[in-house]
Amino acid sequence: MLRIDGLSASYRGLKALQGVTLEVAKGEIVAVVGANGAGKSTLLKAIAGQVAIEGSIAFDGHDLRGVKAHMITRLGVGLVPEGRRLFPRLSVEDNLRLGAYAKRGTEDRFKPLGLVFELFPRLQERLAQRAETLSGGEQQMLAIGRALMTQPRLLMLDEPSQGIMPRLVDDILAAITRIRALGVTILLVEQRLAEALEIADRAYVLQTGRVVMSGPAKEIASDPAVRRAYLGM
Amino acid sequence: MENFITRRRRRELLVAAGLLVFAIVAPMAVKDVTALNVIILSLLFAGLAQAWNIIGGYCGQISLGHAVYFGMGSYVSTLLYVQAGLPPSAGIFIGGAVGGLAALLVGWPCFRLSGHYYAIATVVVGEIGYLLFLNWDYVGGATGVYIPIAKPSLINLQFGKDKLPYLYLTLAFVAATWLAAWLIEGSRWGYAWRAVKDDVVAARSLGVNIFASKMAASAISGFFTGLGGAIYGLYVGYIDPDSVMAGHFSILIALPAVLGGVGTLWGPILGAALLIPLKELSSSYLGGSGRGVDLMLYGAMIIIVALARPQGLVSLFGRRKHGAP
Repeated sequence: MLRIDGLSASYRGLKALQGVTLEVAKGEIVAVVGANGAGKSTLLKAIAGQVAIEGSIAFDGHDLRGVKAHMITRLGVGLVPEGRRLFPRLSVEDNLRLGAYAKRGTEDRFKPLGLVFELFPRLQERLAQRAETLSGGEQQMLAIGRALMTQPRLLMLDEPSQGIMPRLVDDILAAITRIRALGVTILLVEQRLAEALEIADRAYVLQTGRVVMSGPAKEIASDPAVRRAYLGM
Repeated sequence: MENFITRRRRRELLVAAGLLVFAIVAPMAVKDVTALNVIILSLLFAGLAQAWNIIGGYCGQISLGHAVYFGMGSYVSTLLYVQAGLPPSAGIFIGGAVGGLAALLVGWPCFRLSGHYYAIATVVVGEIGYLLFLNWDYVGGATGVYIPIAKPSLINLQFGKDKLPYLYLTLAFVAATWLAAWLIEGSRWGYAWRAVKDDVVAARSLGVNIFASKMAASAISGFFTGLGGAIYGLYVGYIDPDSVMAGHFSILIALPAVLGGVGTLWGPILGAALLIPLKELSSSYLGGSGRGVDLMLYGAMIIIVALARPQGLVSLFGRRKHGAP
């Protein structure tokens, strides 16, 4: 579904990615793990068309290079950005409606709403509240819900566990697994190694912009070398 | 989910309809010409501020060059009448269209800039427009253009000494801009524009075309500003660069919205209802020296509102308008 070949990208003058090759098959959960500054976020931004790149990114046969960011979303790539980036002064409802923005004129543009409420019942309770009044966990739920409203075939999540209390992290990860079960392919960037590898099928370990290891999540989770790479030693 | 929104929006529409009826009936009792003049100008600037609010409030792009669209509208409508004999009832819409076009032309290069840079660019554009018209002989240069007096009629949009028809003309203008803002608030575009205002990166990741959104908001804002300029020209009967394109018009168009509440339906109207009478009173009581005083007043009001009510005066009225940042 997603095939990345020899991807390099600079971010604020630094080479953040160097020759990254990565593949995500339909229906998989693929985790990208690595320390701070390893290039994980830049990787997602590159796929989403938000940073300039060298190399190739193909999604469902579309060459994404040079495609405008908003068109990449319309092709079916959803992004839950780092730090969530909700519209704080808009209500939960308006945030969700904005997710359906690109589905112009289609009958079922609000169809994913039922799914979102099923995954995160709290959002339905807080519909009229402004997004900034939600707790960290609820905000993350809203960010995921909003991305689901774009009806993505590939959902990319950037550190969904960031700034959330541990109990809710499990809820969020469980939701990700359920989203996959509905046929949405997942590309997950996480710093929390154990949790990410638990729900992922395969994983890539990034270190200073390069893929240093890849394979089935279970194998990587049990590999002592990962700890080394992960801790950046 | 839909019910909650439609109910709120229907209530807003009812309130607006009620106010409109009041605004039609009440002025019939006003016989004082000065008072009518103040009401007409207040209505005009309420509409202009609402037009500014569409790009500045809903889309978050602060323009300090709206005098150019205002001036273009009044020049185009006036010159079409004077040079080509086109009745102003049609001319004002062409003036509006040219205002919208001008906004697109300004937006094309300037929307590649963000934040403060866009605001600064519009100041420069405003100055350029003013200087251009000041030195352009075909449009009357610094001498300006008189609108020939015609038989009072709806086609000519001239009503002689009678002020009330002008009042209804500006009232229709306010109603049109309010309705446009109301429609925008509930539309797909309106949501996209507020997203652009709040967080460009997030908006883009939801499939919003940032540049197109800004251009669309700008064009609609420019259209109504041009329309307002054309109506203003007809009302005062004489235009020159100083009276329709000077930089302080850009401020005067933006100020009521800022004062009343940016990005809200009622803010611009409330702001104009307070600001314009104050401005007219201070300049009529203080004569020639009045202009400096009303500038001081604006400054003081902005400081007070910014400190005490950063959401604008409209936030004094009960619960905040839902969805209006």
